[in-house]
Amino acid sequence: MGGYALGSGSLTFVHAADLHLDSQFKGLERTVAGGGEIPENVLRRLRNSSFEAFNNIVDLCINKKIDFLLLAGDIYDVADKSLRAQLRFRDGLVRLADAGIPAFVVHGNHDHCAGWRAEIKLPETVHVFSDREVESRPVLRGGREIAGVSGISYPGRAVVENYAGRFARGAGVPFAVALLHCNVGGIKGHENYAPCGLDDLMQKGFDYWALGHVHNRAVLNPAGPCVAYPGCPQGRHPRETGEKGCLLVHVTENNNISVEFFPTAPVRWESVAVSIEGIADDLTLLETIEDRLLRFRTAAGGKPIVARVLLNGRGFLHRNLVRVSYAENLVQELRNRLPAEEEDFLWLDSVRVATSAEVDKNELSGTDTLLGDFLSLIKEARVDRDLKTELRKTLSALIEHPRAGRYLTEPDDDELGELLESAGDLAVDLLWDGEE
Amino acid sequence: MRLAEVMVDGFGILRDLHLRREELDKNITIIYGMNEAGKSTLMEFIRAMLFGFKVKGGRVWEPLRGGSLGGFLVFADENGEYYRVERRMRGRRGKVAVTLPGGAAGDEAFLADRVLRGITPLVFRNVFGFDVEEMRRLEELGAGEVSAHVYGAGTGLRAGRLTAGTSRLREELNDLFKPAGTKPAINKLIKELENAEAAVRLLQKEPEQYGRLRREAMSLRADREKLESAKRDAELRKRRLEAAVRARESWLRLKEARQQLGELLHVPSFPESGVERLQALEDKARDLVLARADTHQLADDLQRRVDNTVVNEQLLERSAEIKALGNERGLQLERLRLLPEQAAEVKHAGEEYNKQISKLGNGYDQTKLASIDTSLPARETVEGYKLKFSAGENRRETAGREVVRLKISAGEKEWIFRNAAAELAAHKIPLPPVDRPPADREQALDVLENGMRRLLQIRAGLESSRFRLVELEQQKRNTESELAILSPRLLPPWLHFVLPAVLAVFIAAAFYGGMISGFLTLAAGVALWATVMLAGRRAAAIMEARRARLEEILLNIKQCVAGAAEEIEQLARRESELAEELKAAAVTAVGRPVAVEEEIIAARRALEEEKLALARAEDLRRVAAQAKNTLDAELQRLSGVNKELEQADRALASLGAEWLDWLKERGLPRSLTPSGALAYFDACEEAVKSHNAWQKSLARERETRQQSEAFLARLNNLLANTGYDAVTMETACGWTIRLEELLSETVKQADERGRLQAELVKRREQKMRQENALNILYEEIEALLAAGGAVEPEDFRRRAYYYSEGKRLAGEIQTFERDLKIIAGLYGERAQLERELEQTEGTDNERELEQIAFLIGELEDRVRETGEQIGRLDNQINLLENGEELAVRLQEKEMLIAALQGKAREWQARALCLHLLKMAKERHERERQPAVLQRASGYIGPMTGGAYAMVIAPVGRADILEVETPDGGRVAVAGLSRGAASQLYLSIRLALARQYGSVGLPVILDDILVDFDRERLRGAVKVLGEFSRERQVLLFTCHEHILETFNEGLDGFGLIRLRDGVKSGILPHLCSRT
Repeated sequence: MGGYALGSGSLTFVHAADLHLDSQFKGLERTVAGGGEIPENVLRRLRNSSFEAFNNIVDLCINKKIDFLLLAGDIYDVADKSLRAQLRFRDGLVRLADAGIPAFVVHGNHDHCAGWRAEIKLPETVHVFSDREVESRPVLRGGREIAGVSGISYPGRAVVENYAGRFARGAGVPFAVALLHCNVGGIKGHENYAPCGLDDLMQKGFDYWALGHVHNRAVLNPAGPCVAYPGCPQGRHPRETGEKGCLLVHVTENNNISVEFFPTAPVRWESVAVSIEGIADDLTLLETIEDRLLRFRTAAGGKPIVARVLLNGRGFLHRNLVRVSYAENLVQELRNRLPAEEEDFLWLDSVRVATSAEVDKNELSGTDTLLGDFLSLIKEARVDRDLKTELRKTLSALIEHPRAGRYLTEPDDDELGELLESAGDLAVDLLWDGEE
Repeated sequence: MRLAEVMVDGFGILRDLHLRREELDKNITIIYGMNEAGKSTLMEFIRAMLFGFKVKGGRVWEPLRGGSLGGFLVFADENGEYYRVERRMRGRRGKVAVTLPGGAAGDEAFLADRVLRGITPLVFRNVFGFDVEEMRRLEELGAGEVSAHVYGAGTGLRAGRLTAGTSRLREELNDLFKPAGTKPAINKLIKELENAEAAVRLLQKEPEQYGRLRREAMSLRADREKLESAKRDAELRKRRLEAAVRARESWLRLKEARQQLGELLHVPSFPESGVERLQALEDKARDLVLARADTHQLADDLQRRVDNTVVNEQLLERSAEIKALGNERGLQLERLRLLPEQAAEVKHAGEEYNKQISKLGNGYDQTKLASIDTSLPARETVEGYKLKFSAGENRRETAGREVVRLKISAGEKEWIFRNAAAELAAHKIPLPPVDRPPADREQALDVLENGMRRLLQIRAGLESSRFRLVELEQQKRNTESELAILSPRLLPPWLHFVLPAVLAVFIAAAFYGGMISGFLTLAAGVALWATVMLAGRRAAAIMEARRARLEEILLNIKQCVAGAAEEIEQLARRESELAEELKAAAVTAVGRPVAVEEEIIAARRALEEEKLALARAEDLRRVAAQAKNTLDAELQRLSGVNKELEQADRALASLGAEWLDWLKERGLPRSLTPSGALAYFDACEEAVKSHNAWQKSLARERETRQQSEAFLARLNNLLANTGYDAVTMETACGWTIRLEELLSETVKQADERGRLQAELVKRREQKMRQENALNILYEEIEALLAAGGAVEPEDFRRRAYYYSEGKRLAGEIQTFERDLKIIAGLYGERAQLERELEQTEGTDNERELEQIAFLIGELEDRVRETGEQIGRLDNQINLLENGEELAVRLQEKEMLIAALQGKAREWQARALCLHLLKMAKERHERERQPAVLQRASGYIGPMTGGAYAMVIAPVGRADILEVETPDGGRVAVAGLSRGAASQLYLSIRLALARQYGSVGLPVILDDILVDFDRERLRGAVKVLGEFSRERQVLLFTCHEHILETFNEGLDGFGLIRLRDGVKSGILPHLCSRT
């Protein structure tokens, strides 16, 4: 990724969003029953990963000598009241200001303007858009306007208004950019804030819609004008796997746009699926998983990785794997084998067991044994609403417990399905003696 | 198959109890009797008939009222054919005999396989025959084959696995979470989470102080700036005052030095260290003059000592000869000591030689000794002869010994042969009765023995068959006579006429009495007549049926008679064939056509003896032949050894002649044997050796004497040359020592004189050098004085003082000026300082300095305090800006939530598993019960009046039964009343009996309905009625109400009354409710 020789009319900018500075990784278990803990160096690296990612964005801006930086909301979690996050953000922006690069910032649902904020002065080159109306600001080079950026911040957490309607391209703007934190087309897995449709955006006549809120990278309208989510610069939980980063956008004199992705995440989440089929002993299983993880790491260029392993398939080892202690020992052993240096770790977060016994549960469910009846009931529970309700009631002792319930939610249908699958495996383990 | 007949000959209190076929032909037969009527004994009798009198743990039912132990049971199959099972006392279990339809016989195995179909006593007691206590014995249901039917294997689980599995799930659930617990994993995590949240809340409050802290810090920094400025001014003034105080002394001394320099004589230059150099030159010159005088005195002393030293020069010239004689003196002393010893040795060696040569005999001298060859080849030749002689003698001796040994051995062998021949001649063989080979006779004896046994068996069978034929004929005659007397008409023919006539008379009489009574009598008469006629006709029909059955029996008997006759004919034919065979065998064996058993035994014994005698004769012949062969071989060996002895004698004679020739050739005495020749050689060699030793000792003694005399001659010559007298052999050695001492002394004197002369030369040279050095020193002193501008040393020293003092004062001035410059510091400050020094006194400066130092201290304290306050604030701000604590706590919280969710998933999976297991168990129990429990469920409903609808064996248990009410409630056996439990057990056992469909046994119930109330008893009767359609039921009871309930609820059951072991009445049709 070399530098670009820009003509007098061309411009380059970086589009990033959802920094969530200083917010912590979710879904990571510190300890296992075997007694192992995530080493402090790994934890420290994880804690600082959002800052590192932001610094990587700033470095990119300075190295590429871009014209401006766009940050499309959720810079940090205001709810967490992290002063550190706001100061580090200021420090990054100061570095940009020193390099003469202006930055345009909107706040999103996580760092909305009603939230607490420290009295920190940002450099003059930074413009934070108002939460009352759409503002527009020019980008100047040599006293000449080369682009105009419009944007609006969130006044509170939940914005249900379609903010796209408030945007209008200014007259005579050579390259018009819109900066907005929103959900286009009701993308699942994200709250539907500032909801809008792709058409709403298209008809506004902007050259580039710099969006935030959705953590997966997406260019919604490749044919142009460009509507893009850069995704988050650092994955924050097990489902945000793979490379994360920001978009480097080049605009030619004729306003032709090319978008280039730049990875910025210092730590990657990865998920690896390993089948136990044909694996006859613990050592082979260990070595297989280790080999797969190390290959992943090589593919990731040796960057630190937090990995989850999904064991699936049908095999002899299933009988061991359904025992909690066995799976925990497996995790512990793998952690001992994998590198754990601060700069270069491969941390195994967990091993999820979704294996099946050598026995075919489907076949078993057809038999007139007790286990057969058990497995038939599980099948029925997947479709029978009443049975589901009855089974959910059995979980109420935990879910509705006044203290535990604060941290737990009732399993949805998918989660219940997984629990039933686990229950089936447990029953097979407890009751099935093999073909006798 | 059903039980058709029971006959007890003797068993406990029962004797000759016969339950006949017509008494047992109903589906249900009730055997009714009070206590001790023999019901249970009858049940035990049936068990004993089927499984033996004494089974393990059981008892023997000895007949108490006579009769032989045992009896029989008769079973009827579906085709009406009868199987009779009879058991009599023999062995522990008794001996069973099964008689099949058609007369064939079967044994215990037949009974077990075909009648009992393999069921065990345990199964019989559980399913087919039990009393109320046995019925209630639940644990027996758990045993072996019965258990499989009741509890089933259909769960697909091993025993206890479900219980263990659910226990494990419960344990794991409890380990994970308890609603009010603190130890389980989830409870611990909740506690940790709450702690983490509290910490986060606390930390989140801190950043709000950030702005205030920063403002405070800024204000404090401004205050500190002002204080520091004031402090800087005070410090400047303090530095100036300190400079004035420090510079004042230097300034005063500078002024003084400048004044002294102005008053001093100016000497512009002077030699470097001139005064010291002059003094050093003068000191050196004085030292040299003194040393020169000492050297001169020493030289004179040395010259005098040389002149006084005298040396013997002749001794020095012959010093080499004196040393050589001194060196040889030890050797000379040794020679003088050896001379007498050597003379004695010469004498001894001469005597030894003479002794050796005289041993060989006269005429031997040195020349003759040299001519005798005692070399190694000659000795080896002699050794060869010696070995040959020795071998020849050995050979002759060995052959001689072997001849003696063989002669003795041949004598022994001959004695053995003669004994064997005598024994053979004495052995006798008995004569055979018939001239046939023993093998033929033995075979004929075998045929005779077997044949006679078979003949006896055939004759016994023949007799038994004839007896049976007679019996059958008798039965036939009985049946025919019974048939003949069986009249088709029960009423006599005359009754048809007499009864109407009598009735007519009565009617007529009645009419005679009145019309109404006449008609009434007429009606009654007609009715009576009709009744009698109808009864007669019904009885005739019964008679007809009986006749048909008798005819059928008669036909069967006739068939049996024909069969028996044919069997007798076959047996008679086999008897005659066998008799012929035996006759031929008797001729072969004993020579007569007829042989009785004793003859056969005697013939068998004689044959055995004959065979033994023949075998013994054969053995004796073999032994005699072997003894003869051994004797011949021994004699042949003896002749061979005699020849060897002769050859050995010849060889020895030839060797002796050869040895004499060899001695002659060498000129040796002929009397020598090979051993003697070797000793002769040794003696010759010893004589030569002693001659040589004598000659050597003579030469040594001569040489020693000559050397001693030469030594004495050399010494006397030396003494003469050095001026001493000659000496003798005895004093010569002493004089060599004396000469050596004189020489040593002379050499010492000569050395001393040489050393003194060398020292004298060195002193003279030293004196010359000292005079030259003194002259040079005087020249240097003159040059130095000229350089200092002086002629005399005193003048020179005065000028030196002026020069050095001027130089010192100039240095001081320079030093003080430099001090002032350093103290003043900057260029502008020097003038300021000098003004200060000029204008003030030292005491003023010091007072002001104290005041200003106090002021500075105060300012410093205030600056430090402010700085500390700023530091504290900065620390707080820094912590807020960079503190990771909040991030750490948030991270911890997220990880705890993740862990909690993980554990919650584990808990939920287990909770679901447990719940689903419960549901699956219920479903399994309801829908997949074994056939036995399904049938039992069908029985228990009617039996309990619908109180219970289902019998259930809980999944995973093989020891518990439960019943279920129509609304789904379950009750375990333990929770049932005695009556309800009995109904449950009866249902189960009846269902089990249905399960054993192939076993042809009735179900025998020994008063099992005693716990049933009236209502349930009716239900049970109904169930038993239904059940008995499939399988015969015998019910023993002593309860009248039970009998009544059967009477009310059931059509057509049989009833046998027992009293004191005896039937008291047969009422087969009593209970028909027509």
